[in-house]
Amino acid sequence: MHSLLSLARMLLLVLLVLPGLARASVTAGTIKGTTVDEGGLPVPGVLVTIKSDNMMGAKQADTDMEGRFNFPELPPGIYELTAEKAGFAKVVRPGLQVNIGRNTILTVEMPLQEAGEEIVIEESRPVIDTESAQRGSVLTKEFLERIPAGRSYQSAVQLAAGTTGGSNANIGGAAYNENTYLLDGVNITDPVTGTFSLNFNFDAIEQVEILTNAFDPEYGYNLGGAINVVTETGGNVLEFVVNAYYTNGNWAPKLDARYAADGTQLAPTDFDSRFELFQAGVKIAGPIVRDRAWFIATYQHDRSLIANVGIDLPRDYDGHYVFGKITFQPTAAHRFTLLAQADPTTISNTDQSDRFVYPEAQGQQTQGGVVASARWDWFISPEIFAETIATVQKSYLENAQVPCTHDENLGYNPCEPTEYEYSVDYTTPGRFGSNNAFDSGNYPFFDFDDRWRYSLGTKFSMLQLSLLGTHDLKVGLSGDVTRWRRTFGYTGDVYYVDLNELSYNPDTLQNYYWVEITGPISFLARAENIGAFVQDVYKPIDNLTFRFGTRYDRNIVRNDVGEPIINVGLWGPRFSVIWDPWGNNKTKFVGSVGRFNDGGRLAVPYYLSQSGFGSKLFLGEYFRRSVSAHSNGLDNSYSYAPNENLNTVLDGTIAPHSDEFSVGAEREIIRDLAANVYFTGKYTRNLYAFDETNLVWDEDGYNVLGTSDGTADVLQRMRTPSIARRDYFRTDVGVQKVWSDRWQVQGTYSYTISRGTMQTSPSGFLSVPQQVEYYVNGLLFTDVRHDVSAGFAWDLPNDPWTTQLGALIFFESGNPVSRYYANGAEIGFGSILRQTVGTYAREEPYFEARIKVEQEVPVRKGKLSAVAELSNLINARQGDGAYVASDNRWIISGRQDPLELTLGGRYEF
Amino acid sequence: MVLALALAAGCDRSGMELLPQPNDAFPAVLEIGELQVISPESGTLFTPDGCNEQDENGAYNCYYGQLSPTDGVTLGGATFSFTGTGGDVCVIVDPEALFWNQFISSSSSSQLWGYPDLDDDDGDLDLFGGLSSYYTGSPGVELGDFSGFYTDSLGRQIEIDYVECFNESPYFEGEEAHAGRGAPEYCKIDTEGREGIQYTIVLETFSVPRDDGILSFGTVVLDGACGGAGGLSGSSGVSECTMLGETIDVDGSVRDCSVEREYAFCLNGEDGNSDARILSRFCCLNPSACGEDPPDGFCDELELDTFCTEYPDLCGCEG
Amino acid sequence: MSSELLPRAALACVLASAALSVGCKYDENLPNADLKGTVRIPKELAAVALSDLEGNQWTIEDDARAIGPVYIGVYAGIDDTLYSYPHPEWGPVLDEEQGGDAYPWGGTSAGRFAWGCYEATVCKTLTGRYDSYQSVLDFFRDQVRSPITDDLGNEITSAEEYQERCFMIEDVTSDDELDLVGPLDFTDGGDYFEAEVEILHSQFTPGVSVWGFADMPSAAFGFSTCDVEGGGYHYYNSEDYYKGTNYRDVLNFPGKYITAGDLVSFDPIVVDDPEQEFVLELGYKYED
Repeated sequence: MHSLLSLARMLLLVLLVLPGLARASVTAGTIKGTTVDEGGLPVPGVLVTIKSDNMMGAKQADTDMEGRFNFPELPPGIYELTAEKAGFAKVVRPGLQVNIGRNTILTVEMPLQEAGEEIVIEESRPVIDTESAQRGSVLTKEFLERIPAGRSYQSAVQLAAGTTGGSNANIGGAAYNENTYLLDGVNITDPVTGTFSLNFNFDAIEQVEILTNAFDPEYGYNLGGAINVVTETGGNVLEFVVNAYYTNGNWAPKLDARYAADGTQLAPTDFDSRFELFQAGVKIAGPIVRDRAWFIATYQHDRSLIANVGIDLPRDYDGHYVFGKITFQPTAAHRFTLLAQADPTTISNTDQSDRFVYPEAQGQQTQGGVVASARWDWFISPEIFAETIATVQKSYLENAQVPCTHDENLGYNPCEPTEYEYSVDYTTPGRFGSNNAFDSGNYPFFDFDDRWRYSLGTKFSMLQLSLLGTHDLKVGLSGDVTRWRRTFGYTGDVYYVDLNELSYNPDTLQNYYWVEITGPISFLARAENIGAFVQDVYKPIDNLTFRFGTRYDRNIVRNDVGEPIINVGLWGPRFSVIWDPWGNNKTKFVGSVGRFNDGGRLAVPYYLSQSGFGSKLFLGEYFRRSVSAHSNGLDNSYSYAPNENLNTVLDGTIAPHSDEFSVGAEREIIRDLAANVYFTGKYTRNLYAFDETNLVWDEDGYNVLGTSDGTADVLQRMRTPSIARRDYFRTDVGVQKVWSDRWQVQGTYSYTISRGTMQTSPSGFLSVPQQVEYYVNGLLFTDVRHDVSAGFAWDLPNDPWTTQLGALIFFESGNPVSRYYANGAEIGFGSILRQTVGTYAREEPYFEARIKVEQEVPVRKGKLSAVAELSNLINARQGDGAYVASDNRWIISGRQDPLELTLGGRYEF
Repeated sequence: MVLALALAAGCDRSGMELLPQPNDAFPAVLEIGELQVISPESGTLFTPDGCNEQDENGAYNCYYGQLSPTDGVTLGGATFSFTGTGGDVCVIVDPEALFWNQFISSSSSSQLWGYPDLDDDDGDLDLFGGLSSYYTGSPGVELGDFSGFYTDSLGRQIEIDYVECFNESPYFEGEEAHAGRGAPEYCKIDTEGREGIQYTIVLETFSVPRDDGILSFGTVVLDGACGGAGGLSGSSGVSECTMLGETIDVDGSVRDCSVEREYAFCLNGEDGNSDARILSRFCCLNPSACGEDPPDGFCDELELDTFCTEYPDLCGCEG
Repeated sequence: MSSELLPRAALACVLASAALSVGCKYDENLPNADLKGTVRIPKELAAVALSDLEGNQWTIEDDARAIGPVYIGVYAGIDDTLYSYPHPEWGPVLDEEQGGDAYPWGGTSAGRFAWGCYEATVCKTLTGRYDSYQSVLDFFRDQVRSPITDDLGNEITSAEEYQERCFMIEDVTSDDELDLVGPLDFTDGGDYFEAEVEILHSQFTPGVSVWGFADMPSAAFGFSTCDVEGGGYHYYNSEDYYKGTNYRDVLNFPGKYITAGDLVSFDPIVVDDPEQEFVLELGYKYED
């Protein structure tokens, strides 16, 4: 315990010493508890020691007068606790799992025994954190290794209740781009797209925390969830792992027939999509100086060949992920961590739009980036500490045509005599086909996209303050600057489009049109954020916890000429109460309320940028008047779109925000296994939406009757109206068992209702006012009514060779689908609704089961394992994308991947 | 590892080299001054040789100039003024086009010489014009447009476009229409009742050629409607053949063979010459002036030996 | 600050911020409003005189199906001096033939040209006028005296055939999707035909005027506001026609489209309060 006066002094000191304060998020967990005698009375003065392979040295503390001990800021992992006091038996509790942001709370019973006797208690691991209201999941390394998640943490993220969608998950009804991604406490959310900005090395992951709601202010302000990856740190033992995996999805039967544009059914070899993945990795970790300096370095190579249905040239993904971290703890009071991750990747054959793309006409993408951070943890006392993190991140994404090469073995795009190898021709106009014409020229587009993030922050924690109970107080401050530069254009500032007539003869150059474009556009947007938070965990009595706090963020997001498009102050107060009615850490009742905000992404001002293409369309002399020409309104030989910015922002927009509440209960029903039931409601309001200010529509929104300014321009105005909203309600019933007795399980059933006017932000639903009624209370994409997700891991008992089994099951109701009709306007807004959004139909439900077997093979030294993993066990081929075509047909636009088998091996010592 | 990371991060590029960079030697926003409204003889072909001559008031007879790209989102181009005659006036601008086969080729695009083009040499200027009093730009400093405001009885302001120059070139005519790269644009302005009133013409840069990053052009103001103006005797109206030699290099010289090639194209389109394949023959003799080498055998079918005898004006250039 | 106050201050700060962030109602201060009202047409003015090529003349009386599309605009003001009827004030006249642009602040319609299921119905059938396909057939056969024919010139006598054809060319499966038949705009209000209208998201300031006109059919049952070369395009075997739609500047240049027989609102409706419902009477019949 510390007096508040000394704490205040300490706080002042920290504020003065540290350069800035922190976005630093949570990367550690806590072991806390009470030592009691056999009669349940607290035993003070017990020496409690904890140690772990993941922590440098051991930590010790004496229990206080109430028998309490508290070990905060522990690197996640498995710990052993020892309690000793003269007159009592020495008690050892191995296998204690410490998770990110969670409290491992236990009551250590100290029997009176002869001195020197040791009692090892392996049973009964804490499964409920009775001081936390945060909803979500923590996936440990041990669990991630056992479940068949395809060596992708993103696949496993869906195990958390309230998480739907794909690798960029929709969490709590929010859009896929409204989450925060954290790597070792560093915000690595892409500043433009709001998605994850780099690929991690799977082998470097220690734990993944998925927070779906009711999370503390220190995790940030976002509308969705937070995905917090904490990596390994190495250890006192040198560890070397090498592994390789191969996945193939080609041999499975795929029975869904496909049709070419002319109506002929494709042969199976044409429509079977190709899926191959090769992964190899190496990890080396260990001590530089025992208990002083550790390191970990990993390298992972991912290569995949995936072709869309009927396309000959597969998309060729070739990624190299490098991760390194050094942790240096010169004294018990200071720890320094340097981290770097890079993921340079090339993707060839990016144009998978149709089946007639010549190799030399293909596009190529290079992408990747590097994040580097330096962190200083200062343990002023066992319960007062500060952390400071400085981060620089750069990511890039380049699209261009295939470079030329002199290597004939590559077989495509030979260099001209005057060209350098690997040079890209930016001056020859691109040429591509439409309606199944050959893409016979070079990829027409280039795009250079660079994103930067610089952040600096500090967090200061003061635990176990006494004032009418105990308080764990944290404050933090951070600054964040992001930039986005994009240079893009069309090669030669023009492109040709070949139409489908005679499309199978690439020598035919008839029937085309071309578009002239102004020169390349260079666009630079930037944003600044300053954020601060304060939060407290207040325990007036032992079995009652209040968590409360707020954060304030000031966000300014500017367009390419520096105009602040978004300039908002965001308050994010949160309050939770957690009650453990019997005070035995086996039950809790939880209630939470809180506000979460959207501070804007750099993609938002992009819509309001002053830069833009002007384009001129020319129809070739052989262009025939056709139906498509009429329906596009292109029945003359010309169209001209000057590079004017027609978008504006309404003065006084505010930040989109969610007000969220949840209530629930958890109870340990059998040893180490808890059941839970939760209800969550989330009201999201004032999302970004565009309305249109110029066109005057008829009573149904079909046709334009006039224009306010006398021009045919479509003038878009960005607003944040209250009607731009989402209402989300979810009930979860789940079970969770921690790893013990060689098995672990985690599963949830969720019943969800998700309604509102918009899923993604910005949206254009306001554009035609007569249409708005069909959006109000429409079913959103996240209205996944029934959602089951479960993960299971089991190590076979009495097995001389360790055999591990893992399984995953996902079931989701199909997404609601809307039907659109053509309108008569012909300028903009080419389709309209006649029915409330999402009520027309749903896609088929999605079901997937995966299993994994890992078998250890005895070798003289080290550990060799063979791995087999089957994805989509029953080879379900449900449509996972669908729409209603204008001719009223139900079109499945994408299907679940087929059965895939992965075979792999891993060797470690 | 650090080195590896540095290398990985170094793989990216900003793409800035793809942007035409401003060239200090040329203005991005050019104010030409005054142009005379001239009445040349029918069939007059304009070239840089006879242009850029000023009268006693400093007004040019016709003008050939060069423009630098701008440095960002601002617009670039040239402006000049002329004085209303009280009748129709024809304003013509021909931006640099070395050889825009797609546009000027008289043969079908499915035939030879249809593709490809010398695609890095075409510039595009869009023509606007109206009364100087409506012009919102600052000549030589910033481009503007021809707009005024109408305020209705409740005080709402509506911006009104007072452009009076509507492009008439045959492929791309119409209100708010502008010809594509390399193609000349022209319009008729009716100055009835506005004799002595000043008009402003704006030539707005749409794209700058990639070969040298400089956009050259020629412009002239003719008395009367555009239908009977300029060009070869058989040409109807204004065409690529009205102003020749608008491809001017950075050093100020007209690019080799550019006048001859344009002239060959113009002759090719003349009545009675369409079977003479003048352009094809010219290009066979000067392939580098016309784009890629012709396919094997193409030139064998043409009578190249007699070309210089038939068309001595088109021979002798080093294309 | 005394050290004891620190957590209390923090708590106060949290509560204050919570109150601040949830207590405010957000007002966008939009310069827009939704205006509601009723359009009414005196029955006596809604009578339509038709004639055929043989010189026969007849009148359709007391039949709302003969009312053409009603266009309603919100304007800065009404000027009585431009035409023989009140017309929205207009901006500079850049083209003498069409007059100045009236720059509508907003607007709507009562009825619009429905998809032309047959070429014969292009620019002749409207939404909100018919409650059944049989009603359309009857109206054109009995009142217009020009039965609806298919593209080969054969008269359509079966409502089912008509519906099927509409469904086929519009790729729909229900009348709700098509809008040709369904709820009627105009109801019988004694001496008037009345229709409720809603002008959504109009630009608004107190003092704007609501004005409108009905494009009544010509003697050959044609409508001057319909563009026979506009709208969707139908191309199937030998059939090749546009399905027709209104001109897109009807509310910008209404005077250009108002022809003999059209009904124009005569008394100005000035709206100061967007909550106040207006009654717009098209009480003036324009005659050449």
